[in-house]
Amino acid sequence: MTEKGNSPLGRRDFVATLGGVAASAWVAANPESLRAAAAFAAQAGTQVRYQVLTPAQVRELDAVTSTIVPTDDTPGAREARVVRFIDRSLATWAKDQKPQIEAALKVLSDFVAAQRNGNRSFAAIPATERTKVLEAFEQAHGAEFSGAFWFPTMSGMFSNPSYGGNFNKVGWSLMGFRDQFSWAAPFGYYDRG
Amino acid sequence: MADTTGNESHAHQARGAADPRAGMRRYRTTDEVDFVIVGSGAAGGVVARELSQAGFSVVVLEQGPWRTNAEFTHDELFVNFRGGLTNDFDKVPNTFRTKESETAKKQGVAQYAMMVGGSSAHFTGNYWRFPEIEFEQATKLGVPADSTIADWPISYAELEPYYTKVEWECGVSGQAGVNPFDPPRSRPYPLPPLPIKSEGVLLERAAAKLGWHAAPAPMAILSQPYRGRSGCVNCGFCFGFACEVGAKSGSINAMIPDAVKSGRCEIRSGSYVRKVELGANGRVTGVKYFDSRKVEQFQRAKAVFVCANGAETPRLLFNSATAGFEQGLANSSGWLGRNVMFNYNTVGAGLFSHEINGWKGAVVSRIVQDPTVLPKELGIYGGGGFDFRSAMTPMNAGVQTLPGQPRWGSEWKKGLRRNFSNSLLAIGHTTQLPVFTNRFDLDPELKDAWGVPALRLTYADHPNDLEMVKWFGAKGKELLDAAGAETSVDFGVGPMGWPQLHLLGSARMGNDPRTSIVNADNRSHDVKNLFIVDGSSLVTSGRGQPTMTIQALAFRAAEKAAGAAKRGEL
Repeated sequence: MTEKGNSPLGRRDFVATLGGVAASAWVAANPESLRAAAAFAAQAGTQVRYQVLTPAQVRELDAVTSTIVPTDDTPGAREARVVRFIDRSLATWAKDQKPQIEAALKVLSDFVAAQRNGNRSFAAIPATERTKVLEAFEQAHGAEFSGAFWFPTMSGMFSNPSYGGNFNKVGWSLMGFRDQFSWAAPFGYYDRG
Repeated sequence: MADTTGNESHAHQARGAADPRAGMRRYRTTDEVDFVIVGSGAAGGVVARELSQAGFSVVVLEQGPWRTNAEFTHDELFVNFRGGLTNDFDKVPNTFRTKESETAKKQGVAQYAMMVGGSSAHFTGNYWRFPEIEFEQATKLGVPADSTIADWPISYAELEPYYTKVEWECGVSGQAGVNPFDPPRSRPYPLPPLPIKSEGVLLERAAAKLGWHAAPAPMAILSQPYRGRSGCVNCGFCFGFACEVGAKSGSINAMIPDAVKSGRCEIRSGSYVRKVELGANGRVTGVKYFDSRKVEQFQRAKAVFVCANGAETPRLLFNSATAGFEQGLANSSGWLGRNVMFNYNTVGAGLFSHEINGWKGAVVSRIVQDPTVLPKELGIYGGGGFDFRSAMTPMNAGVQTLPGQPRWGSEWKKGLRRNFSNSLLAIGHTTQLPVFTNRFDLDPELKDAWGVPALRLTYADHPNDLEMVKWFGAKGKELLDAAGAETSVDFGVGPMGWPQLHLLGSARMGNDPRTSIVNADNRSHDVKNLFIVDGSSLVTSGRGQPTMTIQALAFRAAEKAAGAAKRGEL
C-alpha cells in the first residue's frame, strides 16, 4: 500500500494522511503464493484448524481485530473472519510476515503488562476498556499497530473473499459495495440527469 | 525485469479465450531479424505492429509475463496492494538521493506494469493531446532559471496526424469540438465519450461557477465495441487494473494482437534485456538478454528500438557502455538520464450529500483544462488541468479516510458507507520543469537479482514547481467547494513522493546532438541503427497524461524507421 503506491486515491499522496503506515511489509509476498492462498481458502471450510496461529495468538488477535472493527448493530471483524484471514495469509502468501505479527503481539503484551499490573493479555481486558488501551497502544507503537494489526484487519474485512476473510462479503455489505461485474449509467445521484 | 512471477506456464492457460499467441511466428536468436524491440508497452507495442505490418521481421523482448485478459481479476489485494502487475523492487531495486554529494539509499522510484503491454495494460486511459504550446514553450514562455526547458524538434502540427492515428488505431473515446483547449484536429474521435459519472456532473457545476470549461474526457477505453473488441462494462475495477474485457486500448489489446497476426512478429516474454551490443562498425548488432531461466541469450538484429520506459531505457543504455561510449551507449552528449520528469498530481478530497458511487465505471468522465498555461501575473511557469474521480475500490475505501476522521472503531464504521459512496477526489495534473541535475544513472554499488547495476535517481524539486502545485492544490479545493462539497480538503502536495509512474524526459529528442539523445525521428544521433521511443523521448512533461503522446511519437518513429529501412538508409 505504501511501498507499491498504486492506490486510486491519488497513488502516493493519500498515504501521508495515514500517518506513514508501515503496512507494506505485510503485503510483501509474491503473486504465486497469493494464488496458493486463494486455492487454500477455496478448499478450507469453516471447521479448518488454524494453520499458523496458536490458540493464545488467536485469542489476542480476535480481541484486537474486533476492537478495530467492532461488532455492533452491523457485522465486524469477527463476522468477516479476519483472524482466519490472517492465519491463512500467514500460511500462504504472507508466510514471511509471521515474525512481524509475533513481534507486534509481544510489544502489545508488554504494553498491556505495563498498564495493567502485570496482566499480559489484551484479551483479558474487559471489552468496554479495550478501545482506550488500543488507542494508547497506537499512539505509543504506531508502526506495530498499523502494520501488524490495523492493515491486516482492513485487508481481512475488504479483500476478495477468496483470501478467507470478508466472509459472506460482510465487509463489502458494510460499505455498500456490490460485487457485480458490470454496471450501466446512471451510477450515482448527480448523474441521473 | 524478467518474469519475476515465475509463472509463464500459468499465463498460457487462458480460460477459454483465444490465445493471442496461437500461431505466432518464432525466430531463432541466430536469425538476424530486421528489428528487435526492447519493451512491449505503449511505444513498443505500436512500433511492433507498425513495423511488422510494413513487412519487417520483428522480435519484441518483454521482461514481464504474457498475461491474457482471461487472467485479469478484481483481486484488489493482489493488484493494488501487492503490486501484482508491477515491477518488483526487491528483485530490481532503485536507489535515491537528493543531491550528488549524498550516497543514494534504496528506494523504489520508478514503477510500471511489468507484463506484455507494459503500463498501457493497466493505465487509467487519460488521452489528452499535448497543447500546441507544449512544443514551443521555451520560445513562447521563456526559460526559467535552472531549467533546461526547450522547444521540441517537432511542432504540434507535425505530430497531429499521429495523434489522430492513435485515436483511430487504438480506439479513443471522446467528443471533438466541445473542449476549447483541445488543439486543432484533423478528425473527430472514433468513439463517443464514456458515460458521464456523478463526478463529471459535479466538475461541470464547479467549472461553470469558476468560469471554466468542463469537457468529456478523452479516454483510451472503448465506449462501444470497436474492431472486434468489447466496450467498457463499467465494472469499476479500473485504476491500476488490467481490463478483463479488453476495453482498455493499450498495446496489449490494440497493438500486440495485430503485430502477432502479421506473421512477422514474435513477442518473447520473460526476456530481460541487459545490454544493447555495439559492433566494430559503430552499429548495433542486437541485444543480450536473460531468458526466463536466467540464461543469457543474444538476439541478432539489423536495427534496435529501445522502448523500455523512461527509467529502464536510460538504465539499459548506461549498462550498454562500451569502448567509444564509456558513459553510456548513444550518450556522446552526456545528456542521457538527465532532465527526468514525472508530472505532479495534486489531490483534494470532498464529501458530498448524495451518492456519487465512483466505484462504478471508468475513472474519469470530465476534465477541465482552463489552467493549461497559468496566467502571467501569477509568476508561476507551467500549468495543467483537473479531473474529479473517486475510483473507490473496497480495500482503498477501508484504509483511506479524510484527515481528522477516525480510521478504526465504531465511529469509523459509522462513516464508512458515506466515505465509500459520497466522496471524490479533485486531481490536478501538471507540468514539471526539466532540470539538468535531476537524473537517472547507475548506482555504483547496488545490483539487481541478475547482477545488473541498479537504477539511481538524483532529484530535487524546482522551486517554481512547488509554487505551482500549491496553486493547483488550492484551486482543487476551490473546485470542490464550488461543486457543493460538504467537507473539502487540499492535501497540500509538497515534494515529489515515490514511486512515480510517469517516467519522462531522460533521453530527450532534439536537433542538437550536444543536448539531446535522439533526433526528431527518434533515431540516435550517435548510432545510426538505434532508435529510442518512449517516455524518455519527451522534451517537456506535458500537463500529465503522457501516454497518448508517447504513442503518437511511436507511430511516427516507426513510420520514419520503416521509410529509412526501405530506402536502404539504416
